[in-house]
Amino acid sequence: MSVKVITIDTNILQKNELSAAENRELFKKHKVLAVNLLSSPGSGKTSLLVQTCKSFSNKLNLSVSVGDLQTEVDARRIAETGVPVVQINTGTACHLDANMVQQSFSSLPLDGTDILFIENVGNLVCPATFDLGEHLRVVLLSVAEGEEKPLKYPPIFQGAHCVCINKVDLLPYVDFDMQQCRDNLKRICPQAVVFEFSCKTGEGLSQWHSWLQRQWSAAFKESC
Amino acid sequence: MHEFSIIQSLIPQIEEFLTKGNYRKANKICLEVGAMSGVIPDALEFAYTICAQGTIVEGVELCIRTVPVTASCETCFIKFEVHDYCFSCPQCKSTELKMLTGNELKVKEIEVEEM
Repeated sequence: MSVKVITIDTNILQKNELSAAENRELFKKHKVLAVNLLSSPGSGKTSLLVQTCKSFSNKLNLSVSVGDLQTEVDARRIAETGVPVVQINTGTACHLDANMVQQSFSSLPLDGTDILFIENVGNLVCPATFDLGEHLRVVLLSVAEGEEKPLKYPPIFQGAHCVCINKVDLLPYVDFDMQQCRDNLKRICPQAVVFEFSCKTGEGLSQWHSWLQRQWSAAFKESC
Repeated sequence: MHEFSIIQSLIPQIEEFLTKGNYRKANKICLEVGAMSGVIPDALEFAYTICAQGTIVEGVELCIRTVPVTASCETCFIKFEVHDYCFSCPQCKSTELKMLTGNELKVKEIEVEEM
């Protein structure tokens, strides 16, 4: 009986990576821009999607997959905008994975979709680890959460293409240093574009919408 | 806690590896976990002790090596270790960086006993 050490060097999450790659191929085939929206619970992901769905109603076709442990509350809110939406209930899982997202495609008109939003489970830790096959990672935080948030949760912010700071209508009532937050974001994710807005009042949302439109155009308009 | 999901992904991979290679058993499994992977090594070890019970890896030692965050600068081309999650080049202060290590979640090595 002999003992030996064998070098493996494989990704533990290779199954998720394979599913994520399959998702990428589907997005490419159907010309879908996929956006993974991440944040703490209560930062305003669903509110942002409701506002975005309303704004894009005559411009681009949106679809949404919403992840929560339980209930269809968020999906119902988004459904009121008329955008196709499917709720993924994870049970006790604290994040979405690529296979869960792939399963949701059978309930969405992927072929007629221009932008697919994936509203991840509210959690600033675990979702960072799981590639869903998305083009863009958008991290949302609200002014009620503190300007140190990016420093406290570096992995999720470091991977962001875009960071949105929501609830700016509350700035007069909370101790939130916007400049410090932006400095913190420059340190953790200098590559990320940053927007400030209020989903409640609509202030600042037009810039987010314009950026999204440009991202879709850059990805697919030339190939249409 | 997603460390449980990760261990639940790991165990079937080890089972398949041992079966396909016709190895008698594993003595030790070595993982590499990047400092930015979002995975906590202590939580991974805890999840392993729970999930390994009753499986082919029960009693098999798990070792975890943490990999630091390193990057290369796209402007002056130096390679460096990122400290305190500060993503700018220590030499030229550029923020045009390419992350080299720090996101890993790998099975690196397995020590096995052959038949």
